[in-house]
Amino acid sequence: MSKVRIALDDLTVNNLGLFNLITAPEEYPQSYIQECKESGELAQYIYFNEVPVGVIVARPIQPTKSKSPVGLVIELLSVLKSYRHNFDLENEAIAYIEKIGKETKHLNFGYILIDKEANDWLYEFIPSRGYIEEDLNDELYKGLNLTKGKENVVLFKKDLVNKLKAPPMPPQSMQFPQIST
Amino acid sequence: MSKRLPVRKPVVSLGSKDDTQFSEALKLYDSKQYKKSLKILDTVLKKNSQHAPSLALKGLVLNYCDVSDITSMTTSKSEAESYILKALSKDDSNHIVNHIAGIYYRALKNYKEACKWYNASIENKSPNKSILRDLSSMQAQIGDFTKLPISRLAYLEDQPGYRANWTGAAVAHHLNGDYQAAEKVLTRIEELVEDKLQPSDLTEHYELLLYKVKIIGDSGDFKRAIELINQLLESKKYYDGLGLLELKAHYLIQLNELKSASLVYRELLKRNPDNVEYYYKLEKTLGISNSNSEIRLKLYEKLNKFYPKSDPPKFIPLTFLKGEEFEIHAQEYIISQLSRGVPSTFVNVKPLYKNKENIKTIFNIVDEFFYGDAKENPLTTAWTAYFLTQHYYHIKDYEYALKMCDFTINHTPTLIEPYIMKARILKRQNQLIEAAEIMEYARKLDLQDRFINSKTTKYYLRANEINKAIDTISIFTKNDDSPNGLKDLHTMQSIWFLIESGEAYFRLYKLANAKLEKHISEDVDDDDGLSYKRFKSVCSIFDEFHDDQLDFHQYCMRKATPRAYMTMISWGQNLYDQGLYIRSISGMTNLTMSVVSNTKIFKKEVKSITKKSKKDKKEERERRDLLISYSAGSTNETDDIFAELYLQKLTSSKIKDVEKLESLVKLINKMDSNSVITQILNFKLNYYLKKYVICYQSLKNLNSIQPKNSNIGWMFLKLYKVAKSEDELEPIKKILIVSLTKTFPELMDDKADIIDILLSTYFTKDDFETGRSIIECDDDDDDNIKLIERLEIIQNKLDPYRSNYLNYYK
Repeated sequence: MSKVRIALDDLTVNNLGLFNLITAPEEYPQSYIQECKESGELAQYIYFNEVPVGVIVARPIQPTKSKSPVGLVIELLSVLKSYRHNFDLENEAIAYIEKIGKETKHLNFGYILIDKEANDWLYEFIPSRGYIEEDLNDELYKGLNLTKGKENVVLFKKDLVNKLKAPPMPPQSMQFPQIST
Repeated sequence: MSKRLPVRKPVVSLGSKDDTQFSEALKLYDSKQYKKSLKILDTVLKKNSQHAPSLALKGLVLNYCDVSDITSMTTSKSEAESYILKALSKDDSNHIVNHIAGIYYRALKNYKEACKWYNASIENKSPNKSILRDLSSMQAQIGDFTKLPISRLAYLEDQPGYRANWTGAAVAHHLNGDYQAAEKVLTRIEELVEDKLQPSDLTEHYELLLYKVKIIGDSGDFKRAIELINQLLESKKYYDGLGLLELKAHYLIQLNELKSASLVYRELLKRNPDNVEYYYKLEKTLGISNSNSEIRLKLYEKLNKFYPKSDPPKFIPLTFLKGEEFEIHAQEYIISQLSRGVPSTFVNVKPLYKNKENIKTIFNIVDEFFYGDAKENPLTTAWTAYFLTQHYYHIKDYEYALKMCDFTINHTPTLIEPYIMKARILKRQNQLIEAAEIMEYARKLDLQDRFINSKTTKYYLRANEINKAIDTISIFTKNDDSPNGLKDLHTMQSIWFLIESGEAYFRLYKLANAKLEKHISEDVDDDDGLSYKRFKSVCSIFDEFHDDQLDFHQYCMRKATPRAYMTMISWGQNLYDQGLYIRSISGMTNLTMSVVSNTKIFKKEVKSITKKSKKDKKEERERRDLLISYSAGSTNETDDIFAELYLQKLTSSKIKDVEKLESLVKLINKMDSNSVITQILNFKLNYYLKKYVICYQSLKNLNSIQPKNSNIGWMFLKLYKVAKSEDELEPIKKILIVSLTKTFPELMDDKADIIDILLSTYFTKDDFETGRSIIECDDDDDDNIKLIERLEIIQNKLDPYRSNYLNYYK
C-alpha cells in the first residue's frame, strides 16, 4: 500500500457542510458546528491523503467550583466508516488534542467521552493511550452535563504531565499496522 | 487611445482672427475644457459659418461633451457627425479638417473611415507626422496590409532614432508578404546598432534576431534560416532557446533532414519531457511512426527510462498497442494511477475508448482491481469506483453509472467529484432539476470552490432556473450596489454564462409559446427579449476583443514582441469563427426567425390583456422590480431592459423584412464566409426574405464544403418545394430547377423518391444534428411519415436529454 498522509486542519466558514456528512447518522445543529469552528484549534477535520474523512472536537472542562479548567475533553471523534480503526487516524487526532492541552493550554489532564455501545472499538482502544475510566458521579463532574443525557457514555481521563502508571498494552487486535506517515 | 490632436507644430497660420480663435479652442479641447472650447467655436462660427476647421472641431468636441453639461444648448452628441460632415463638405482638402475627422471616426471605432481621413490628412501635406503612426494603427486594425508598409516606412523616415519604428516597418512588410524587405529592414537596424548595444537592449535585440529567423523561414528559405539559428546558438545570442530549437527542428523537417531534426527533438525532450508533440515528432523524424508496434514500443520504453516521471512515454504506447500487450501496459498505467489516487485517471485514458476493443480490456482491468487490491486503501476504492462510474457513463449505461456513483458517495461522502458525476448522469437522463440540486448539494460542501459554483450555475441554467443560477454565481461576483452579479458578469465578459442564460431564456420562450398555442396558459414573460440581449452581449464582447487589438499595434513594437504580435493578428483574423460566437449567432438567428415568423403578435395581445387584468398594482410593481434586478445586464442599461424595441421592430408590419434582419446579417458577415455554419445561417435568413437564388448559392457552397452534411437535406427540400410551388414567379422557379438539377441530379430525377434519397444520403447518422435537420424539413406532405419515423428512431437512440432538447426546435 502506498504511503498514507494524515493531517489535521481547521474548520472554516467554507467547509462546514462536511461536518454532518462525517458524523452521519449523528446530526449536529448548525449552531453547534459554528461553535466548533469558532473554537479554532480545538475542532479539526482529519485528512486522509488530503481528503477529509474525520472530525475531532474538544473543549476545556471546567468544574463548577473551579475558576480554571482542569483539562480538555474530547467530546466528538468521528471517522468515516471505511477509514475507521485501521489507519491510525483516531490515534493521531487524540495525540494532537493532548499536545494542544499540554503545550498550548498548559493543562494537566486529557479527557475523552466515549459512547460505549456505539464506539466499542475506541472504548477498548483508549486505555492503551494511558486513559483511565472515571466515575461520572464524581463531585468534580457534577453539573457539567458531560453525557448530555446519553446513557452509555463513559469518561476517560489521562494525566498529560505525570506518567504515574505505565499504560497497558492494547490487545493484539487493536494494534495499528505499521504505516509510514 | 489618445483623443488629442498630437500637435508638434502650429497647426494653423495665425493670420486671421478666426484661425487664432480656432487655435485657442483647440488648446482648450486638448485640456479637456470642452464647454469653453465650444463657446469659442460658436463665436467663430457665428461670424464665419464656413470656417471648416471650427466646424470639424465643434463636431469632435460635441462627441466628447457630456450632454448634461450643455443642457442649455441645443446641440448634442448625436449632432457631432453632422458638423464633421459639414466641415468635410466645405473643405475636404484641409489637412486639419481631415485629421479631426480621422480622430472623430477613430473615437467612434469606425476605423475604416478614420483610416481614410488620416490618409487624406497626410496626402494634403499635413506637417504632423505622428498622424502616420495613427494611420498605421488603423490600417493594421482593418487588415489593410498592402498600404501598411507605406505609412510605417514614412513614419520610420521621420523618426529613425527609435528601434520600435524599424520593427514596425519589418512587421508591416512581413504582414504584406514581402519577406525580403522585412529581412532587409531588420538587417539594416542590426548593423546600425551593432556597436551601441547596452545589456538592457539585449532582450529586444535577441527577440528581433529570432523574429528575423522566422521571417526567413516564412519566406521558404529554410536552409538560410537554419544557418542563422546555428549562428545564434553558437554565439549564444538568444534568450528564448526553446523557441529557437522548435523553429530549427521544424525547418529541418521541411528540408527532410530528419536525422538532424530527431537530435533537436531529443534536445527539446530534455527541456520538457511532458510535451506530447515532441514524442510524436521524434517518432516521425526517426521514421518509425508507421512502423510496427514493437519498434515504437522499444523507443518509448527507452524514453520511459530517461523520463520516468513523465506521462507521455507511458501513455502513447497504449494508443498503438493491441491485444495482450495493450492489456499489460494498460494495467500498469491505470493501476499505478488509481493506487496513487489520481482523480483524473479516467480522463487520461478516455482517448483510448475510441477503439472499442480497448473499452472491454480497460473495464476488466479496473473491475478486477476494484474487487481485489483496491480494498487495501479505502481512498483507492473510492477513486476506482469513481472510475467505473465514468466508464458506465461513457458507454451510456446510466443505470449502472448511477449505482456505482451512489456507492462512491456512500463510501466517501466528502469527495465532491462523485456528486458532480451524479449530476451529469441525472442530466443525461433529463432530470435537470434533480441534477442541479445535486450540484448545489456538492457546492455547499466547499463554498470557496469556484469550479463547483460555476457548474451549479450552469446546471441551474440548463434546468431553466435562471434566477437561482444568478443567485449562485453572484457569490463570486463583485456586486457593489447591484442586487446581484449580473452587471459584473457583463463587465467581466463571462461569455459562457451569457450564452447559457441566452439559451435558457430561449427555451423558456419556446415553452411559453407552446403553452400559448395550446391555450394552456396566458402567462407571457420577456424571455425572448432577454434571450436576444444575452446573445447580443456576447457579440459585443467579441467586438471588444477585436477592438482590444488596437493598442497592440504600437505597443508590441515598443516592447519588441513581434512574434507574439503576429500570433495576435492571426487570432484576430479568426476571432469570429470561434465556437462561442457561432453558438451565440445561431441562438440569435433561431430566436429571430421564431419571432418574425409566428406567434409574436398574438403573444403581445395576450400580454396587454393580462396586464390590464392585474388589480394589485403594488404587487405587480414588486414583481417587475424583481424581474428587472434579474434582467438588467450591461452597466449603462437603464431602459429597454427586455429588448422590447428590437422585438417591436421584428414584429412591426411597417418595417421591411430586409431591415428587420439587417443587424443580424451584419453579425453573420463577420464570420468566415466559407464555413458550414455561415451557409446554414445565410440560407435561413434569405429563405425568410424569399431570396431563393442566394439560398441556392448557400446550399451549393455547403454541398462543396461537406457533401454529406445533414443540413443539405432540409435546405434542398425547402428549395425544391419553392421550385414546384404554384405561387412562385416562373423565372425564379426555372433558375432553381436548372441549378438544383445541376448540383443534385439524382434528387431532381422525376422518378426519384426524394425523401428516400434524403434519408439514405443525408439523414443516415443517429446524431442530434441530423435530428435537427429533419425537424427543419417541416414537411407536411404524405412522405412526412417517413421523416417522423426517422426522427423517432434518432430520438430513441439519443440520450433522454439530447432527445428532449430536439423538441425545442420543433
